[in-house]
Formats: sequence, C-alpha cells, structure tokens
Amino acid sequence: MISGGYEQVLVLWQLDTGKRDYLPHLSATIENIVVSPRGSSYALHLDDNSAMVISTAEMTPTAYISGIQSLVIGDKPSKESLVRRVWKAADEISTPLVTANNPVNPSQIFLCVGNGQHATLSGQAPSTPLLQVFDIASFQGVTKHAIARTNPTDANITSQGAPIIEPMVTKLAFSYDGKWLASVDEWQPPERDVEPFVTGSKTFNDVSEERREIYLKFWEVDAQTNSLELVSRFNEAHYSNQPETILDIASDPTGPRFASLGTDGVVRFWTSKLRRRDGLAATGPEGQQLRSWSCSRVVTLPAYGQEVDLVDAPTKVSRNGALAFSEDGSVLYAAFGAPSEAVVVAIDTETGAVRDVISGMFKGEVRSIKALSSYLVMLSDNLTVYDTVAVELLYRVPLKETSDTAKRLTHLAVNYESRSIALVEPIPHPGQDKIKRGAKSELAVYSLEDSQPQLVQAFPQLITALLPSTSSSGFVVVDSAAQIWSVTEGADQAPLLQPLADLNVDDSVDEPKAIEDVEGEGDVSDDEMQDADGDVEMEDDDDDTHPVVVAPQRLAEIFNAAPAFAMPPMEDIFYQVAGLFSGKPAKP
Amino acid sequence: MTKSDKGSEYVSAHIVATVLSKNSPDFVWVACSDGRIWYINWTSGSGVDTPFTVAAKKVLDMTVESVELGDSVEDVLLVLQKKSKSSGHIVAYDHAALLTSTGKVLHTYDESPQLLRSAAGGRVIVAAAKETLHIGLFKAKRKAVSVDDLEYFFHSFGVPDIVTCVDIRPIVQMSKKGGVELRTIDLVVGCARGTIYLYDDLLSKLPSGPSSSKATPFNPRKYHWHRRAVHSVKWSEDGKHTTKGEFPRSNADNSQVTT
Repeated sequence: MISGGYEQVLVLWQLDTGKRDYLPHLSATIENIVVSPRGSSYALHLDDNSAMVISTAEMTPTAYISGIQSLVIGDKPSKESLVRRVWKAADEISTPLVTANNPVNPSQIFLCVGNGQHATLSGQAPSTPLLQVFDIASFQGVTKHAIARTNPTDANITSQGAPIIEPMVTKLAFSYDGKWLASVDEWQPPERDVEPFVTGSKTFNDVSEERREIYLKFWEVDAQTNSLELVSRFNEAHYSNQPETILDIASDPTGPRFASLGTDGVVRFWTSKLRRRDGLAATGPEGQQLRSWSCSRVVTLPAYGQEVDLVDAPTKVSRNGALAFSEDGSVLYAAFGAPSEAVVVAIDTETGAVRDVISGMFKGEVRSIKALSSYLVMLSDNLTVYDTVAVELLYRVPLKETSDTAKRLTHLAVNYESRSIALVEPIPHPGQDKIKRGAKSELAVYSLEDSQPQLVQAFPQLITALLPSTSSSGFVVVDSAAQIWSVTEGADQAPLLQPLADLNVDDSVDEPKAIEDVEGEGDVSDDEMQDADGDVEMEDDDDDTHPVVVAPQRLAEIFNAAPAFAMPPMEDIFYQVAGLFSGKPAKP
Repeated sequence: MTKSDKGSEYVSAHIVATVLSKNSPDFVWVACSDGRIWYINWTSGSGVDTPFTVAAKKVLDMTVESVELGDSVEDVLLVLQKKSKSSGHIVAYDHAALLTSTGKVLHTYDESPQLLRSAAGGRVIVAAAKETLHIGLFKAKRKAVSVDDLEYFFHSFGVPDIVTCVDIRPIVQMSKKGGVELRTIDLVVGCARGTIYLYDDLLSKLPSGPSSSKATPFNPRKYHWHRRAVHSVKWSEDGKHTTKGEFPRSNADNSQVTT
C-alpha cells in the first residue's frame, strides 16, 4: 500500500510486517498516485503542477514534467481544509507573480514560485522562495532554483501546529546582458510568534515588522545550465531604525548596474567590481575573474512636503515608489512618496545629481514607472504618459475603481521594440472584495501617442503577471490558472519577421492547465496545435498569408545558429526560411 | 482540455475526473463539473469539440468500467451527480445513454457525497460521503443488455474520520463456468486527519442480502503516519495478493485521476 500527502513524502507500507519505507523530499504535496498496470512504476501528481514517474524497483524518477508552478485559484477546496487547523491558509491571490525574462534567451521566463500550492498559501503573504525557469517555446519547466531560505528537509510545522512560512521574493531584475540577476526577498515573523516582544504601545504588526528580514542578492547566471551562483548578499540594504522594504530594483539597460529604492527614501546604485583577496584579484577554479557587487552611490531623495512627517517620528504613512532607468542609462527616474503625493525625481546616473523633479503625476499609490525614450509611463490609480523633453502630459487614463487588493494586481509593461504599453487591470468577481474564483482581468495595449487603447482584451482568468516578450513586439501574460498567453501585434513589421512573430504565438498559445489532469499531458500539445492559428491572435489579418505550419524551433535553428556577427549571409538565411515555408510542410 | 472556447460562463467549471477508456486505450473520458463529458482520443486530440452532456446540477466524480452489455463489452461510465445540497446519486451511462442523456440511477444517498470508485468490471462500487462509505455490489441476474439492466445492492457503514481517498483491491477468482467472479475486496481509506484505515476481506463482513440500514461499524486496521490529510492512497501491485484467474486489468483500475 502506498500513500502520500502534505508531508511531501511517499510512504510505502508493508502490511504484513508493519514496516514503512519512505521516499522523502518530493517537491510538493502529493495530490494523487497512480500505479501503472504492471505495477512497475508509480506516477505521482504533485500540487506544484508537476507529474513524476517513479520506477518501483529503484525508486528513482524516470520522467518529470512540470508546468508553470505559480499560484493558481483552485477549483476545489483542498483536502486539507476538511479539518480545521490552528491557522488559516490564504484563500486569495493577493500579490502579483514576480517574473523576469532573460534578455539573452527570449524563450525563457523566470518566475518566483513556492513549494507547491499548499506551502505557498500557508502564510499571510505567499511564500515563494524558489525561482522557476520556464521555457515558453517548448512549454516545459527547465529548472528550479532556491533563491531564498527554504525548509525542504524539515517538517514544515511548528510545535503548535502552525506552518513555517518561507520568504517571499518580491523583486527580480536581470542585468542588460543576462549575466547577473538581482533579487529581493522578504520575510517577517508571523504575528502569532512575536507575542513575547510586544511591549508598551507597540502592536503585533509593529513588532513583526521590526523583525523583518530583507535581503538583496546578486546572482551570477550561467547561460548554459541556467544555474545561479550567489555572488553578494546585502542584509538590510535599506535601513532606518528598522529594515526598510525595498520598493523596487531596476537594471541599467546599457551596463551591469542596478539601482534600488527603499522606503527610507534612498536610492542606491549597485555595481560590480573585481573581487580582491590580499590585494590580488581573486579567480575561480577555471581562472576566471570573480566579481562582487557593492553599493557605488547613495542618493537621498529630496523629501517634498514630508518634512513634517519625518519629524513626527511614528510616521504611519505608507510610502510607495518605483524606479526606471532611461533607455540610454543616463537618467534614473525614481518615483517615491506617500499616496497621491509622490513625485518623480530624475537622477543623473553619472554624478548622482538630481536633475529634475516632476510632481502631480500620481493619484493613489505608485505602482510602476517605465521610461520609453523621452516618455515616462506611470501607473498609480491612473495610467499617465508624460513627455520629459517637452514637459508635457500626453494623456492620462483613469483605472477602474476596485478594492485595494485588486489594485495590487494591476500590471504595467512596456515593450521597447514596438514602443507599446500594456496595462492589465483585475476585475474581481462582483460582490467580492478579495481576489478569488471568478476574478477576471482585462488587458489594454496603448501606444505612446494615443490615449485610445489599440486593443482591449478580457481574459477569463485573473492575470498574475505581465511581461514584455524580449524578442518580439508582444507581451507574455501568465494567469491564475497557470496558463500562458501571448499577445502580439500584427501590423507594421518587417515581412521576414512577421511569421516569426506569429509563430511565437504558436509557442505559447493557451495551454490547458495540467494541474488537474495527469493523463492530459499528452493532449496538451495537440490542443495547442489546434488553437495555434486563431484563438489568441489579436489581429488576424495575416492569418492567411502563411498556411504552412512551420515548427518554431526550425526557425530558431536558422536564426540562432550563430551570434549575429557570425551569421551566414542574409541571402542564405532568406533561402533557408523560404524553403521552410514553400517546401514540404514540416508538420503535415 | 479546459479550452478557452468555454468562455466566461464556465469559469467555475472544472475537470473532476479523467479516466482512460477501458476498451480503447487511445481514448480518455473527461468529466467536467458542469455536466459535460468528453470522449477524447488523446493521441490525436479529436473529440475535444463534441462533449456529451448529462443533466446534472453538478458532477462530482466519475469512474469507467468495461461491462459486458449484450454481446459486446462496453465502457460504462459511473457518474456521481449532485442532486441537492447534500445528496447525490450514482448514475450509469453507456455510449447510447450518453447520447440521450438518460442514465440509470443506481443509488441515491446523502451526507455530502464526494468520491466514487469502482473495480473489477463494475462488480463493486465504492462511494464515499463525508464519514460514510457506500459499497455497491453488482446483482448478477440475467445477462445485461443495456445500462438499464444494471442493478446493485448497496451497503453503507461509517468510517471514524472524514474520507479523503479510497482504493479498492478486488480479489477475483474463476468461476466454474469460466467466468470471473468477485470473491472479496480489500478496501483502504485515507482520512482527513492522517489516518489510513484498512478493511480487508470486506465482503464477507457485509450482510449478504440488501440492507437499508447502516451496517454496524466494524473494526478496521489503522495505520497512522501522516500528520495531515492523506491525499492519495493506493494498493501497490506487489504480486503477493494476486490470485489465479485475476481479473484482466488491461488498463488497471488505478488509472483514475482525482483532483
């Protein structure tokens, strides 16, 4: 007899002897076990949206398939919820999924995920200590890497029966060349554990916040293996009398440099330098030079209209902020301040001098800021586009009125190639404050010039992440059913790029979520093929141009054969591509 | 399978069970909570657009058994459907019955039904409500021609805890005529507080005739290791307990997927 559950352990019971054998440390809660007809292997369905086949003789996995492991809104209450516990699991999606795409490998996206649905939801904030690398071209999880503290080997439960929560990764940014990854993770003790420290007028929340652990980490990314190596870690990179939340990190699009902004109102620039040991450059095992990261410049943001607050010490004003580098890396825009009072400060990245201050751009909390050539795209309760050269407000689009939780799930992304802006707003289920089942999202794509959206598309699921696709003019959307959607633009593209962009859609079109059907894995690709042509493409005027279905990897083989400078002549590439489309179809 | 063409009105619908067809291994049966049932060829993806619909408020679970109906062996779907807030019934469908959406109601019970399992070609059905198990035994009378001829005795008894998962191990033997008959079943039940209960040789302990009242609870063997809910429990195929004339398990009774 075999059984499995929350403990992430497969238990094999020998009924005659009463002995138990264990297969511990699986990646998530076991949801279902299936025994193969001959009994030679077990298939496990884990609640992190993955399935594993284990051979019974050696107890080693023979196959592993994983989908996107982000938080989903479940269809059914979990089996855990049948019994009341001393703690209550979160039942909503309250924070956006933190994602990043690798600038050098456009088919990979990086998502911050937890140890399965149960473990992720066990605290007030989701625990997402892991980074999943997901290939949207082949629709497979590539690898998973712990970037914050995890408890994989312990019984994840305290003596009182409450779960131990893991840190949440809140920010993620790649350097321009994809070699470095900066991450921020945050953890605070649950309020029930800080009771002994509550003294005087402090509330549980204060005490818990004082004991927050916030780390800024810099990782070196190995392009081949996707493995990450921790290079530098900063405990409390932003600190006043208590650790301050890191509101945003931004990466310089022109060089290996990051900037971070904390609730202390300080912008810090981070650069790498050669690591030295006793005056000599430290080298790795293969003689490569090692680098480490450090803070190279500190810029304190001028506090506008907040001096009074800062003197009256217990400022309970929540302040938000966001950062964005200009496209040429010369200016860093830092938006910071209390709701509706936030200002944008333009900082010269060479000297650290404040060049300009733009006020009156935000209504409500600052959500995001992006710089697109000389324009600033700002998201608060409005979407605002501002021209910094002409000092002119281009347009302002008010967002829908929703609850605060819902507002946290608005997303903004900017595609530098197509110079378009995508905005996602959640639409909670009517009559529900929380983001639960039935919540939907709406995506709107704007251009810089026009306040009328070029595209408005409602999605049947809540969108948890939005990111620009690196190689094409579109956007990639991850929703609360762990599906990936691709939004592409059909118009005004070079003819050769056109099919490529279209085929990018094919890669990632509407994947049926595999979380509840192990059997379904086979079907996934089939559905995908059928859907590929029509469903998600927003502008279908080019549908008929290329009736031949060409596997995207064929094109990738041609275009990614060598770096740009070593590519074969343009003519050869043209004939290769033309051959694909005019010759025998790759997939009959 | 949860295709986007479902549109917004089906947001709350979800797949409740996916079962490999017993007779044609290229096909899977997929049941959705809103009453749609697909018969999909998973190698080619055909059948995705043409679901059958059963008239039910909500489908809770489904199993598939290959049953001899008339001269042919057919897939018979046993569907656990919600009837009212706390009661449900088990309905059997074959291909013809699905087309007309009129199945044969085998059993109705209450106390929040949730799980349905079957084994040995439909000779035994186990349905779980919160803390109760209902065992249905096939009434072997004359040869069944359609699903309307299927009939079962049902027995029910209480389990000490909330049931989260069930697995059946049928023990079958060859009858004198060369057919297969069910001798007994071993039943293993996983519970929400981490206990696993084992009821071995269950059939001999049940009253032989049909009984309407709850059977007296009998003492199962108890195994407790899990701290929290047992999400899945299965009989392993260790060869120890297989008997001669084992029921042909071409596609195993275990190929069911629960959510």
